[in-house]
Amino acid sequence: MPIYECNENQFIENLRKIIDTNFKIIVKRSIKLHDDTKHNISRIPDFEFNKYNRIMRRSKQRANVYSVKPFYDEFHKRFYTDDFKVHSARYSRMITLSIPYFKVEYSFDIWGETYVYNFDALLNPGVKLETRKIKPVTLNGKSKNKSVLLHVLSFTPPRRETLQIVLPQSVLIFDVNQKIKS
Amino acid sequence: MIMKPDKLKMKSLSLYIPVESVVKEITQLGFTEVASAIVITDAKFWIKRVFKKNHEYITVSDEIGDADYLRDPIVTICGKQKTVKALRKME
Repeated sequence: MPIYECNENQFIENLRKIIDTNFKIIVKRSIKLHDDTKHNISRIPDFEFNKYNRIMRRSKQRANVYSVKPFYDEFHKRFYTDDFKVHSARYSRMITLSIPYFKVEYSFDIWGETYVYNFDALLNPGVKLETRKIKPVTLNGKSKNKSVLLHVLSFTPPRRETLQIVLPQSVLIFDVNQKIKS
Repeated sequence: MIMKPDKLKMKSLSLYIPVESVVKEITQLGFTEVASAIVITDAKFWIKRVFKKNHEYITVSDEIGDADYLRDPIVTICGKQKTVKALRKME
């Protein structure tokens, strides 16, 4: 059974042509949160990296990334000290700060063929100054939590509208986990 | 899930004009931006902006990052026939 990958324009236009012929169609939709190293702090374009430049710096896209201030990554529960190598261009899979994202996939089947459109939507970063309790590392291992004011990096999901394709009522949308290829 | 009345039409356009002109036209039609996100598809980064007017939706996806070729914003409409017609004039 062939599967055809489409871009947004192709997918919508293919779907529209089917709708225009009054054909009843079911569109399958899958939206899943991922946090692997597929999208990381080094690979994003400058337009997006600028949202992080209060706490990180890099010379160019796909280069090493360093912290410019101590910060706490709330999503990954990780603390970074000042001038720490957040991302290594050489060991990009091991030393990196991954950006969580929603993997969105739309597909429909017709006459034994599957047409798919998929995209990843990045979670929105936010950098705030907050008071956090951290436990300093000491040699004897005995230490009390200390309240400190530091930069906190958090990620919030994009609005629902950006993950969805608005379709006419005649199109049924089924939410699925994933397609199992037969 | 957003389900819209059947009188709404679907259309996707690939426009070889600057995104600013597209957005200007959309706002002149009475749409307001309700959401935006950075999306990755076709190994490219895009900014996806969603515009809304009553039950009608328009999304504009514009490529971001370094590129030395002509960019074509993708406009996807789920709207009235007159909205589709107005935007098709820009093709």
